[in-house]
Amino acid sequence: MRRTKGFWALGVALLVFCPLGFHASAQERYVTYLSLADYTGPIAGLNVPADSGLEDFFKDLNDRGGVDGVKIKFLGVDTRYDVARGVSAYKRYRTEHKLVLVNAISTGIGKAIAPLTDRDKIPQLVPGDGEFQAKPGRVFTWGTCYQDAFAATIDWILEDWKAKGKSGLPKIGYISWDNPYGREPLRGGKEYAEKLGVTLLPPEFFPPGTLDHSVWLTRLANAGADYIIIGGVDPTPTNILRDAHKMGLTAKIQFVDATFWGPDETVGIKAHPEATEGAVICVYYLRGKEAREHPLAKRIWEKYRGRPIEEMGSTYATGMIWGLDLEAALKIALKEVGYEKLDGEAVFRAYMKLGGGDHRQGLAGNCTYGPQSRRGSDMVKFYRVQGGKLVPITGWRKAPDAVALHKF
Amino acid sequence: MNERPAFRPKKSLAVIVFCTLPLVFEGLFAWGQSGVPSLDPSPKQIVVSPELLKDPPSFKGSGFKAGEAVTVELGLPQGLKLKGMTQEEPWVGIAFAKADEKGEFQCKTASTAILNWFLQVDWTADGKPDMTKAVPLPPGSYRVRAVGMDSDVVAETGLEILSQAK
Repeated sequence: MRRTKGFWALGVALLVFCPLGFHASAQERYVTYLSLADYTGPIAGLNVPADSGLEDFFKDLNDRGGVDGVKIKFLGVDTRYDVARGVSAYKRYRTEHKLVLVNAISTGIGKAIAPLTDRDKIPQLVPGDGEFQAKPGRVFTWGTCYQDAFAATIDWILEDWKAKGKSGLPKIGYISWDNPYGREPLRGGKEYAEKLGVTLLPPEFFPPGTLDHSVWLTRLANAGADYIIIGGVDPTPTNILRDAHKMGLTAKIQFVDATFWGPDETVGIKAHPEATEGAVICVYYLRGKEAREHPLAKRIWEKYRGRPIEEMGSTYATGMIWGLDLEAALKIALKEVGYEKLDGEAVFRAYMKLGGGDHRQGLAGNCTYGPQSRRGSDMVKFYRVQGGKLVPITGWRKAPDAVALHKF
Repeated sequence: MNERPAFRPKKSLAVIVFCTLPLVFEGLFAWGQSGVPSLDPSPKQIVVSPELLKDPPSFKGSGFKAGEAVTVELGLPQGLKLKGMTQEEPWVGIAFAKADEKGEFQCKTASTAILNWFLQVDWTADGKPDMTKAVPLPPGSYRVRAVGMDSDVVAETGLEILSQAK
């Protein structure tokens, strides 16, 4: 445990100081990727492995000569999940040499800097904010939009309810962070539930960093929830499950994480295996053993980390999806405008041509970026925690378009 | 007797002032219209403790471009390196707002900013703020500034961090 902690601490140190690690000579042709990340804050548990995976991917790509000779400089800034810090950091680094992509680790930061990246004509990535699909601009979601995943989760719940031989429709609760991320799934997800006639209990929101979730869980349980959809970035979903387990709720209510960042084998499941057992997770990317055994993730992990593969967090492979997208977009943009004219605008136009490609190598269900689509994917997959492992219980399946149901 | 009257500085000055008054008034009027950039923290003196989470510092500002994003940033004295930050960064964002149609804004410091930058907590593997590892900002006179993201307008003022009562 101590060794693992030390290992990731080293990873954090490398990420924080990574701008110093990339030495670009005057003649070297390179572009800059800016990650407004969280390396030491509340969501570091999943973000550090994700950015480590991405940084390793870029190292590997650069070692192989980059994209047509153009290398990628990874610039990671630790925002500690703070919006004001994210915005001021963007302003500080927006003039970096050929800054062609900005990734905002939080929905709040993503929404806050969107007008600025638009003004600067730099494409931007956000986790799953459907607003950017509803009003297409320069912002792309990593994968499936949160509300679409929420709707897919309702579909899965109804299947599960039926499979258990129950009649009527279940009552569904929702609990997540009291911030833009926590509220996003309901902006379309709520309408989807109404469309199906499902009773969605009044949502419960709590501040990030909450120590005990009993109050909110009690309200949902008293309201008769059959299923509770949970949110937050691991370890938060695990902490909800931990409290629910203590209260005896996990035996009566099925908990489902709808927004991708539920218990991971290297974070929450490891810390609370009993409490997380049986929980279901909806994701747009590979998790658990499937992620660890993915050929690209495995090769790069072994090349740069040199640790037992069991220590690889699922999001290490997820980070590579950002890298694969950028690599594919740079290929297109360089072909179209060449290095001298390569800028955010060219990369933005290239991103809109990525849809339908197989460049993600199966790390996500598909890629659906296009002229009218800012969605990274419209597919999800469900896993269940079984014996301390994430076991797939479905294949890739199309998520409903819940974004279209909401008026933004 | 035919000598020209001697130059009278007081009278000449009065004439100049009188002639330029319209320009001064016009300037003042224009100034009032666009608004001088201003930033007003409340309170102006704080004690850094977990109590800030209950009553976070707030900020009012004016003189910004209508509708633009504004960040409120805390100036860091040389040699003070916050957790998660490289030393070269002299400012850290602590609050975020959007200016209204008059170019005015109001905002409060978010709990994450209080925990991360004022208290400098660690976060546990369970995702909780670890107050035992907190390194509160040292007392002293700090600068705070509001920066318009579109206009680059800057309003700056002071914020006093007081010692904890003993």
